Amino acid sequence: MTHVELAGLKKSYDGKKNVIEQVDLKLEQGEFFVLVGPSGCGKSTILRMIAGLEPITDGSLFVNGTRMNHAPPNKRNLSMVFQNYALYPHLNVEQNIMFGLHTKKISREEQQHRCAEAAEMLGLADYLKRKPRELSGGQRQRVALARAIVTQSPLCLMDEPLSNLDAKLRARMRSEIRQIQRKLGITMIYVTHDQTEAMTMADRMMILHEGQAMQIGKPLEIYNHPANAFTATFIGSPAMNVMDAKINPAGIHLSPQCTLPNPMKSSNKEASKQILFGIRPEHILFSAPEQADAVVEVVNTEILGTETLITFIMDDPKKQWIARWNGQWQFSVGDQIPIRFDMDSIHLFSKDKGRLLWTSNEDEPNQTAREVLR
Amino acid sequence: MTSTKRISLYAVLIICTAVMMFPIFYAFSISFMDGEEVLDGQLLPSSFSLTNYAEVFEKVPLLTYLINSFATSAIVMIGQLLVSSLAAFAFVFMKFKGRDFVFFLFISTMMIPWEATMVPNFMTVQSLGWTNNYVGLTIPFFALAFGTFLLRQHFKTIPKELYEASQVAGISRFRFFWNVILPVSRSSLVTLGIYSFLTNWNMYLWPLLVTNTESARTVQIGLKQLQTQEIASDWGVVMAGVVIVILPTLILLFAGQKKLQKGLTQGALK
Repeated sequence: MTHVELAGLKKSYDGKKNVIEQVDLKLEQGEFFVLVGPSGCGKSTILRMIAGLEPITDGSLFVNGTRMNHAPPNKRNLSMVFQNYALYPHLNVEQNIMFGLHTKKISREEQQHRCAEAAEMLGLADYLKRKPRELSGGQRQRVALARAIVTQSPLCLMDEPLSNLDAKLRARMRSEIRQIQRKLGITMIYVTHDQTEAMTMADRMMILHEGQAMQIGKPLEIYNHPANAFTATFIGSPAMNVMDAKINPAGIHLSPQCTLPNPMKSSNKEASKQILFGIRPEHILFSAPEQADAVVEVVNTEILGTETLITFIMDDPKKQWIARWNGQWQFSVGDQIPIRFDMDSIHLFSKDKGRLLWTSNEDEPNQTAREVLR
Repeated sequence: MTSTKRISLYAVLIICTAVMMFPIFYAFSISFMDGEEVLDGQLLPSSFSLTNYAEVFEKVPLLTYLINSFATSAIVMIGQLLVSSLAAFAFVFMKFKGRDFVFFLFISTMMIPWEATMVPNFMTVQSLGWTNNYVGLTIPFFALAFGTFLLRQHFKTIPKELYEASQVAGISRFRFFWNVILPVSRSSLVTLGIYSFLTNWNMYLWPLLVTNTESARTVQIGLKQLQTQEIASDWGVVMAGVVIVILPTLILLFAGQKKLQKGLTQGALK
């Protein structure tokens, strides 16, 4: 069942330039949806429009099929967790969690009961009488979470809730939030700039860039079938290698010494054309010298234990490629190594807009990926 | 800090304190002397007799004046706190067209000397029949541009998310103001409260204008009366009055010094 629907949502602050450009989205009940993009792409603005903290310039917002464009925040039946947690500094944890529950006409006993339950779930039971300043970052985060949970709203919005935590705690809270969301069956809209968070938590996600939806889909779909060069480089760490290349019927020319066969058979009969050539680091393979597509120069190696990241150049020292190989590979800077490209995993993008021109992945690019190509 | 530096610093501070405190000390000292001792130019009284204090309450209705001063100062303080904090809240948390313009218009009234508005204010108060009572002494001071400015600066440091979180929770604007903003801004409110209490306590000209009966007058006028009445030669009695009148000021200053400093410098340091 559709819970939240955005239809042609737009936002403009000055009436001329849209900071959010036509966002269409349908969220299912109980879905964990992530809005991800670099800072300033408008993801928080979309969230705030859904919350009712920011007026909607154009388009419609439906919650359970009712148009909610002008409803005040408290009539939208949602809860929200803010980046800085927005805890009331003069109230203790218990008061913070229960603050505002009275507006929902909940009895005092029920409030206490819910608070105790949420505190139990999040391991806050021992801290109920403390003030926020006496808590660690992770505990504050949990209080903010508990405050969202006790309202029992079917929709929860989170605005970069983990960005103030250290890496270890972030990883733990990630899985906690995900588990709680599943357990309570709430619909979650989660904003982050961290693609790892998006990949690991999302049922589906939307990638935003300069106020435009670049792609909507399941994390793996997006990883395997990026609809454009922006998505390709944004999702995945290290990012996909996307390099300028020349294409003509004879092949793809990456450098004077490296030409790959042209997979686009029917199209592009005309003379050579500039495109973007994309390949993920794990699809660049170490090769026997006689099968090599190129011999490249190593400029850096990062041995991570189970895998090794090799940074190399072909002829242009400004264009650094990254390959990811399993195991521990020891190269010195300046070593010449033979490599091969996995031609079944390459992506070709148009040079001007970064549109996907061709990909060889055996399964068809999925529907959602194509939808946003427009 | 080296010890010579410290010694010289403390020497300067002690000298300054002595210069500043001498009049108060001398007034305190005189309040225990009889007329003869004062005229002899003694620094310390020969005995600590409280006759001057008893006398000052007999000669002028000082108790009535004290009650009047205390009541009007307290009313003005509460009024200023309420009006200023509500205005500051609107200037920070409510969006409306021309908000900044209205605010600058508001604080630009700080540039108009109070004496310039005194005559029109007096005429208004008189035509409303508010002379000789607390209404006329207090209401004209409820709106205070400085107080609004001070509180606005503090409210601006409160994260916007607190307001948004309470909007999402469905808490009314006034409840948010009352239950969140006021408790969070306690230090600034205390600062403003002390400031407005003392300002009003020390006010002379306005009470002189709008009151002419003994039952409505305030202590500062009482002090002047002590001086101008025939008892003027009896400095011991006058100084006993002075000591009684400055006591609340000193108590408030000592009690609230930390908060006063903190509140006044808060915006500046952040």
